[in-house]
Amino acid sequence: MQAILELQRQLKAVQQSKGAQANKLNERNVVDIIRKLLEDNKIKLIYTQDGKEYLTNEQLEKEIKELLQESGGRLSVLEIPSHLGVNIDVVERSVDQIVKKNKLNLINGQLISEIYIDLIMEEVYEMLSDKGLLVLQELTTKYNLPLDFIKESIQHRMEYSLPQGCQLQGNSLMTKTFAERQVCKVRGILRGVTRPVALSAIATQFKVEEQKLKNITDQLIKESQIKGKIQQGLFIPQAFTQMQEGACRAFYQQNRYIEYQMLSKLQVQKPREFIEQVIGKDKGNFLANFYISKDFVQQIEGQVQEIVENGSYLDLSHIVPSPFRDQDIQDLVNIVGDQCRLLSSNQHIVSEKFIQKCLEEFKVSSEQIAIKNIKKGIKPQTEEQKKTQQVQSTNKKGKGGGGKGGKKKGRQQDDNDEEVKEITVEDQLQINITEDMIKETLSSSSNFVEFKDTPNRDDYLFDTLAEFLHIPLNKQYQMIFIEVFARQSTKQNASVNKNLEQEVEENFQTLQFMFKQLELLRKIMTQNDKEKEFDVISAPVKAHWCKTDAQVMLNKLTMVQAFYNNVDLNNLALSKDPKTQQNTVLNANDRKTVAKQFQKHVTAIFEQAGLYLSNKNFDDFMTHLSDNIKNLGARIKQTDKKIEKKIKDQLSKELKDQITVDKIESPLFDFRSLLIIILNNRLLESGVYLNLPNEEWACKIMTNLLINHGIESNMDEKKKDDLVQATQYYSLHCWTKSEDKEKITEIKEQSQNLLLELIK
Amino acid sequence: MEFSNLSDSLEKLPFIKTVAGPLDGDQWIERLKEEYTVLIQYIQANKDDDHDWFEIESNEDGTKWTGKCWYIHNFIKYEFDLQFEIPATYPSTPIEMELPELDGKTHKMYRGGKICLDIHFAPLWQKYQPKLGIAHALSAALGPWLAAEIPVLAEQGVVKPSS
Repeated sequence: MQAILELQRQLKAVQQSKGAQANKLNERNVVDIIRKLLEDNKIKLIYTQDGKEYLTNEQLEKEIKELLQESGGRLSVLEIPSHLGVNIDVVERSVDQIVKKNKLNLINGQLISEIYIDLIMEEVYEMLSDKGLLVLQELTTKYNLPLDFIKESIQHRMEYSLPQGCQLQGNSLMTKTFAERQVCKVRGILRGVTRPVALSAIATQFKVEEQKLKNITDQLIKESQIKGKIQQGLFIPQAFTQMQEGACRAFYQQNRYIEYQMLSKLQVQKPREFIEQVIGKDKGNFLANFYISKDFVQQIEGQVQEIVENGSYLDLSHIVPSPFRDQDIQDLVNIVGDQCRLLSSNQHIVSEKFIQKCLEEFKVSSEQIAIKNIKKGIKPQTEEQKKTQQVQSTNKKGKGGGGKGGKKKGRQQDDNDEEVKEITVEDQLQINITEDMIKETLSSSSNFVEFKDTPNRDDYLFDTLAEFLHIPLNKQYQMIFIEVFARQSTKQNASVNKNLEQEVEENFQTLQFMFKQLELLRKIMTQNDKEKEFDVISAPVKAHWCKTDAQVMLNKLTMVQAFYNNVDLNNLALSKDPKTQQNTVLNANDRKTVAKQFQKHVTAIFEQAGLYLSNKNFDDFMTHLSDNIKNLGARIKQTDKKIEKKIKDQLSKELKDQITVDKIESPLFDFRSLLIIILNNRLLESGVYLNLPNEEWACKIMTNLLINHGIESNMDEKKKDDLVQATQYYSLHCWTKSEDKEKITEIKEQSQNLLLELIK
Repeated sequence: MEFSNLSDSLEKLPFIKTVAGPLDGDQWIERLKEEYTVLIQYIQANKDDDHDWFEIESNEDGTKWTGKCWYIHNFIKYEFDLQFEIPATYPSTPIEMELPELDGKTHKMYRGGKICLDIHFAPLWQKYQPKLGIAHALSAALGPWLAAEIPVLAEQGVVKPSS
């Protein structure tokens, strides 16, 4: 039991003692304290992945740096967590900080220190010393680093880490000796080149970098170590250029012309510029395919001049070099042949004079054909017709596949049937002179001995000339045709005009007659002291004449004048004759339009006359016309007593013809018109014919004259009464409506009787 | 002190060799000696680790034990009275620790404040008995129970910090 008590005492003592670690914090407390500190943000720590350790940022950075050094200066960030037991996020953050603070590179998730780069540079140094040339791409594959990074690193260390005189060109690094060797190589190659060669081809064949090759070449050319030039990626040695120029000059001096194609064969890119440079700018002319020397051109020009003067033709095939093509010959003729025409064969050149001579030959026959055609009823076209036909013919050509087929003999015969059906004036005009006809005429003409049908005749020239003449001849034919047509139609027109002229003369004479009758009336009335009343009576009469007879006469006179002045009424905007639908002069506007086409003084006469008419100034109109009628070229006679008598008889006959007993007694008799005719006739017989119309005012004037002014002698009261009554009836007829049939029948008989009384 | 460390803490303590209960007279005295020795050793080790967490004393024959135990949660010390008796069939029957203050405050406890050890401690005791003693029971039963329950009870406000 003693032992137990002892043990109890020991237990108590132990429980009261403070223990060996009393003054130290145990792990649990430390964890708690640190956690508390972290929560209060008093310290910042990083946990290891196993949770056993805390790290500060500084410690982590230090450990990473140590690790980097241990791994030789290159360390993948992904490897760090496994070494340090820290989470990758934390490591990445820390690595970013390290890279910022230190001279370290983070390339593709790898930390790379200067030490590592120095190591690379040492290796690069060795490789360079060994090979002389190092392509950076090799290094990228070898070290698995980006090209830019390697390039940059090398550039920074070029001076102290690499052999002296090293050059970094493009993506290759080379030693000075290597570069010099390369220049020598290129110089050798380019000195050996005799014809243009692409630099790219040299680069591939001799394994030199193209850009480098170009630089070296430029430099060598600049230093005159090689002779030549670079053009569009080609190196062109001077020897080659000299060869080109030599060949060009030699050929030109020998032949006095040179073909561009030949220069192309000599690999000349721009022949024209080359010629200008080698031969000279103004020493010749450029044709389509050739360059020809000036003296050669002059020589040809001389021969051409000769045929121009002689009015003959020239076979160019003897003069122009045989390789010349059609386009060249055309160009050449453009230069030398001002007064010449090149035939379609491009072989013969014909002077204008010669062509004229040929055309002359055909004038007579053309005229004969034209007369024949006119007799057939063919007329020249108007402008409009021509236009529409042009459209049609182009359409036709389009359908037919185009070309000049129409000109050729065969086609013409083939198409004959068709063309007969839809024959147009144009077709007829063109068909009229065929190539066969041309040939026939030429070969039979005594003026063209050379075209006589002999074995010596140049048939080629003959054919092409006929082909060429076809168009101008037909043009000439058209001109002749129009001329002939005009001549013939003038004859017809003249006869028409003569009738018109006669009408004008008659109208004018009638007007003069009426004017004189009015003067007579004035005299009578003046004698009776009724001058004022005359004015009242004559004013409406004159106005009426201005509107009717005078106007008609002036219209006709305008047309006559138009004919004398060769004014084509069809070309003017005029009224149409309602019967013939042809342009004619019907009103003041028409007169104005036509008169504008006359000579100035004639125009003035017509305008003045028109003005008088529109102002209803009949007296002045008549004086104006009588004064100027001679100047108008119309052969119009003034009236004399003989003519007056003739007019009077004619008028009297016309009037009397209209007033017959039959007409009066007819059931459909027209009281008013009959009365007016009777009145007019009675005035005519009394010597004061006024030619007044069927209107109430006219009726009143005439009865007034007859009843009150003693115009008619032996007028008894009965007759006066009859006249008064007739006038009343006239008014009655005027105002009675046609529906009021009763009244008309009522007065019908009476008025008929009255008319019969009046003509007794 | 977690459950995973259970066997560690047991291993640190030597096993008891004498097999005897309170009814076994001198043999019990022998056992009690050993119990005391192990207990002193345990307390000493705790002190050395700065992990002292209980105080106990017994009656004369060592059958009734009383004292205190405490637990620090969030820098706050929770202290409770501790008592237990050595059962008559000891050591084949394990000791039942009592925390009378917590009686009725947690369901992980039997009536009278006896802590519930059926799941973890009972099998362990069965496995090692009769070699385990009071120190082992404190280390492997009460310690883990406090570590598991007190934080929960403290959060719930069921237990109040001691002064």
